[in-house]
Amino acid sequence: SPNSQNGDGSKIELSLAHFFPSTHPIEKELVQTWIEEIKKATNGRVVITSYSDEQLGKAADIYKNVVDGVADIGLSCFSYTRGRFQVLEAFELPGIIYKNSKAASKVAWEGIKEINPKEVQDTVLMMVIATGPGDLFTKAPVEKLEDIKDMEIRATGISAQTVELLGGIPVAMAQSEAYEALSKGIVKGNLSPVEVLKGWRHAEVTKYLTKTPFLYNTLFFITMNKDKWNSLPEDIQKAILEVNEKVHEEVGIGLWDKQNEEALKWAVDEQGLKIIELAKEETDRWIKALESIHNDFSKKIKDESVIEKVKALAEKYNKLY
Amino acid sequence: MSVELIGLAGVVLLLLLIALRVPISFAMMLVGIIGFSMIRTPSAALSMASSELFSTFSSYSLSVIPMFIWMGYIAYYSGVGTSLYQFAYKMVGHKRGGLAIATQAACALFGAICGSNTATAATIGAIALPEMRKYGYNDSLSTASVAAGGALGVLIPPSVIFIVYGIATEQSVGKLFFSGIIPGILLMLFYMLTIYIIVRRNPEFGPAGAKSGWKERIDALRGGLLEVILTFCISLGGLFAGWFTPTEAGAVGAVSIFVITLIRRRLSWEGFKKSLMETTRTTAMIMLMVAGAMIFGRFIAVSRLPAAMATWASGLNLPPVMVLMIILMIYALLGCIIDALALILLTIPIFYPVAVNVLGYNPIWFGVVIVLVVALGVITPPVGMNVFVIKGVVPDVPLEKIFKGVWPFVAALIACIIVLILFPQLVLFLPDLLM
Amino acid sequence: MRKFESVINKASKTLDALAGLGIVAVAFLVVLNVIMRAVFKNPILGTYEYAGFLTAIIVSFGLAWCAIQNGHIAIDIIIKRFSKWTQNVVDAVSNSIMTVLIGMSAWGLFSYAASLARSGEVSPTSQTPLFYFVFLSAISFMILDCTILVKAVRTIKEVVAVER
Ligand code: NA
Ligand code: NA
Repeated sequence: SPNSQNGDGSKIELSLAHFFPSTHPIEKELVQTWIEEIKKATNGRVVITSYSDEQLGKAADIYKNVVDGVADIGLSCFSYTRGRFQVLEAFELPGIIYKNSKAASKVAWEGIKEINPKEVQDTVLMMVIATGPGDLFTKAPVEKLEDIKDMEIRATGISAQTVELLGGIPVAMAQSEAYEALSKGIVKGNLSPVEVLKGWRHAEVTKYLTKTPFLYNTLFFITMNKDKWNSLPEDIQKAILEVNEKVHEEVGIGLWDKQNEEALKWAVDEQGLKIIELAKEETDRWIKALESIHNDFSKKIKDESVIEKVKALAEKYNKLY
Repeated sequence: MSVELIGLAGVVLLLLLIALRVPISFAMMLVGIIGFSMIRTPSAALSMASSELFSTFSSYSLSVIPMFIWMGYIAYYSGVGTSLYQFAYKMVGHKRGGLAIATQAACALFGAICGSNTATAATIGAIALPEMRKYGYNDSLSTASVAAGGALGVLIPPSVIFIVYGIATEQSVGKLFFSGIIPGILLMLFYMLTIYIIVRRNPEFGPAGAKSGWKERIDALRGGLLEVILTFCISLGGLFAGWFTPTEAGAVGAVSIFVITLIRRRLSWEGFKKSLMETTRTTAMIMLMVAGAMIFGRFIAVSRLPAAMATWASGLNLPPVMVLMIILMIYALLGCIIDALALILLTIPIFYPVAVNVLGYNPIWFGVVIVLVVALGVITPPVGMNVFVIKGVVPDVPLEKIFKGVWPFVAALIACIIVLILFPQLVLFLPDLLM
Repeated sequence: MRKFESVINKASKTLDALAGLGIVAVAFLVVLNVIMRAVFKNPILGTYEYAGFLTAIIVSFGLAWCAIQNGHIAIDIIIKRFSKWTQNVVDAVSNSIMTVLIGMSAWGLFSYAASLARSGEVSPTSQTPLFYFVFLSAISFMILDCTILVKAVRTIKEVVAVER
């Protein structure tokens, strides 16, 4: 069998499943670098094949597929399988400022290692990165809280609650439908990472972007099947763990910043998108409107320390990056 | 045995099972599960299959299929479809093959509210096929032409496949939409010409009727065209006004025609029940087939067969046009056994970089050509999704009869592809002008 | 066996009728959401998730009755050229294999439902528990399996009868 392996120095072949297009930097920069580094660190003994574009399963099935061994390794979002990772929602709650993806990724990875919630222990996490702040891009300018009132904004999951608390009308639809919906005005805005402006071409159909570094954050994981991990020789495990930290630091944490900057530049220079910055007092008003989400969260997981830890980490890393 | 060889063996086994009268959806599930078990593990294969089944069945973007099918069946069982075809017959029935040619125009018009190849064939099929039969049209011609006409649903915007392609390749979805319009119209004309040639050679395939006077025509217009025009205006108007998305248009169309025929007292309780029963049957058949194709596709993906084929094709050291031809051939071959959407998702990561980065073809143009090649796949044996859908709509027509009628339309599609290869401006003119 | 067959037929037909209701439900739900959004600025937030779940029910509940009506499309041009007995043998074998395949799929869906119930997975926006719907699909596959079992037994009987 092509998956057989042993500790005697023969080849170990692993499969990695994700949902991004093969042209996306997640594949070209993060996944391929990680695979190369692991190959180097193990003297070519570990060979990983990447399956992009949902070839091995839909985005929401990827975590489960890793648990069940459909793929050895998977890369996806925790938020696609809501309810499964209740504690980790803490890192995606609105109302906490993340300066950029570097800060958000450091907070997430360090926080997850510290809290080590039971919900992620059926696989072995390789690394977690975050998109960092998501902004609000709209067809009409949003300069203050009142402007968002009764505005239809595409948002799913936690973001739907966020939009609701801000007084907007959350419209849940797939990212793949959002382009048409924005172009026809069925929704007037989208709350997403800036990358979407270019990656999903949303800058073609929106005009304004309001900087809201406290409204949105999404975590991505790379994780390995537990039995597969346990079957790896110890020296290989050690080598992979070292590569994980190296690639996380050198490529992972800054990946979305790079993406976001590029997308924003394209959107402004080539599509004429206008950027709106919120004043300090205005930001405070928005954050205040979102307070109840934090209390609800702590009540739900019956632990107030988690969100405190996230806030403390966010403060620490916002200063560093 | 190498994984690629397991993949190849799987393809052979699938063809064998299909030849042995195993339902195609079950055959794809079976080979997919067995093959995945061999490459991974049996428990992984079962886990993969169950999540594919459920995620396909519960997919919001596919939920539009039963909606459009129901719309078609209501039109049929309420008699609205009959009235529509009576009118069309009075207008063009005196010309040989007139109704079949008019049906192509209907496919193109319907393509403006429906984004899916399959759903276009199913909806138009439910309305048009029983009527064309009434007027003595040859089953082989009418079924095959509607199966082929489904492609117009994808080329004329909105289009599900263009959205998926645009996102997978980071191309402008708006540009892709515009790029489909001229090829869509061109393909419609090619289809019409094909039908014209067929009935010229075999006059009994689309018999000409008596010519009607203008008074008769206007009377027929009063008969029941109102329902269709209203439904169409609500669906298309709402799409343009931004009241709803293309996915929602299916439900809006179904509810509109349901309410309108109810108010006009054209839909009986019996007809209503029958429309639902036919819809659930057709839907179950189509969705199990899509799920089967997904499961089979997962197996083909882990077998790395497509990658092996791509490596082979790009290593041939031939002129770009030849490599392109080989890629298109591979698409047409794979399209014979895998569902359209699964095929595009599976092969874009492999062929797109070859075609665009290595051979230097325009990405928008390549998208349109791929859509046409995939349209070829869904009407050719042994696995042709649209042909199966049509078979679901008219179960008494033997499958081989539909497949037999398909070849002239395959020729039309190939001719259309060749024209677009020779004159890429036909694809790029509109998007460059408008965006 | 005849008793079993009639029970399965009834069950399949009932499920199919429920699937029909599901079609009406999806259509009206989506339209209601469009109206609530466009006219009243108050959309039904989880609509696209509900439509997906309802579609899963429509498809699952329609599977068995579709199978009884021979609605799952097969190609018989090639096999028709063989003798009736050969055809029966092939059908008996393939129906038996299909019974195992669909039985395994049903089992796979049941364990999928169980794992979803354990992990507490819900849909992202409306937070509807997923396992109910997977469980309903699993039951539908079980009934689909019964209809194929009936076919398998019938074809095996035919083979045996001719041999005798
Ligand atoms: Na269309
Ligand atoms: Na085909």
